[in-house]
Amino acid sequence: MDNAALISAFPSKARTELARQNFYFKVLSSLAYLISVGSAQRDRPNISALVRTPLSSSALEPRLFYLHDTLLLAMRAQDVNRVQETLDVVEEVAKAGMRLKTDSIPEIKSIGDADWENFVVENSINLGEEYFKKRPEIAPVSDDVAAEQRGIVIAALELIQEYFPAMHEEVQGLLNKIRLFKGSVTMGITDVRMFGCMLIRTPRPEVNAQLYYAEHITHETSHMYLNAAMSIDPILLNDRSELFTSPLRPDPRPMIGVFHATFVTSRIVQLFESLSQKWAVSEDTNVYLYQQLDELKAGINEVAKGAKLTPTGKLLLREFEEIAENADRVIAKSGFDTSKVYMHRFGGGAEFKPAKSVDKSVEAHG
Amino acid sequence: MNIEHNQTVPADPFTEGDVIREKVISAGANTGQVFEMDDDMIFDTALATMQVSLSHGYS
Repeated sequence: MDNAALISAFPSKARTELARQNFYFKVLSSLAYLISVGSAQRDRPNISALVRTPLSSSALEPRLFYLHDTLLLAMRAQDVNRVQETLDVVEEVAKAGMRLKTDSIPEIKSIGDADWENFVVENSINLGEEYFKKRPEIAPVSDDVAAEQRGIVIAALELIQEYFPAMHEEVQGLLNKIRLFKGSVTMGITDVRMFGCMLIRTPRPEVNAQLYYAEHITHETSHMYLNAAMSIDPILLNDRSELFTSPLRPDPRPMIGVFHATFVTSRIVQLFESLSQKWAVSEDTNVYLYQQLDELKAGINEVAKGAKLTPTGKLLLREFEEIAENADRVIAKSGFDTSKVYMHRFGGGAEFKPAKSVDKSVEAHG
Repeated sequence: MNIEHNQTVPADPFTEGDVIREKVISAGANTGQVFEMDDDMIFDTALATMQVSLSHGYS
């Protein structure tokens, strides 16, 4: 596969940086524009120059993305007071410094009550109820639980670093904050309105917590990367009102959701393919890989059938197929018994139900 | 909602905020809208990305 591709399912430090800087530039340009529009009212001083920031390896505050969206929505609603309040906060954040201090380990703690965290939690609960017909619970964890889980999260990051170093470089380039929660229905949340932060539910006691976190960090970081990459190329052109079967969720989703799910699964499969071959500590890796590969194939099937892809999107689909073929070989070589029934890797007493294999007709697409 | 461009190169949002502000005031005077925006200058994450990802936890 062409590793010089600007956007790829195979992570790299250079591609991460390209996508991140492009995404930052788009959001900051838009924020500067909105500030100028907002300052036209009540003739307030124009602070658009404050959000001009040189290229830097350090990350932007996740709160800025929330403020950008809040300002846009308030302006579209012609809500003068909300616009002025938001501009005050933007000014405060910009003057305090929009960049985070560089740290090799993300900040790991419980979800808190900052404006942007409250917004994302509330929005996720409402969306979860709409999607899954069950209202998710998303609640803070105690300091003791957060401290205990932090050690396991760091061990998961080290696992990614050792067995999928290119993915770890992407994690380092994109992930700045992890917020832990306890609850039900949903397990992992990313939202571009808090870009750089992810929410992860603490694992059930019966699952391997290190593998659980390794999977979720890879999953959510890959969403971040793909969202940033979509600021360079739209990748797919489907109307969002068309719904398809998701490889990872029970509810029908627009193709962008199916494509995202397939993309993140292709990353997880790469991680567990490596663990399955090189990390002898746990036999769970084969069970994980088998289940993730099944989900990847289901996603490939749906993308190949329904996606209207740009040339970059077509390249990504070919990469997904290459990743699935490689993992198939690893599973076959390991002697893993695929005829047995396995419990779902996320616990909760659910059996894993394999999807149908990739249609041969679909495999032969152009 | 779009305002008309009166120049081929749009103003740089970082350094030409006053140019943008004047255009907004003048466009708003015609339409009665306070915040008259040019959609080409906006990066709307709801349209350009999958804004929210929510994984399903099977309980």
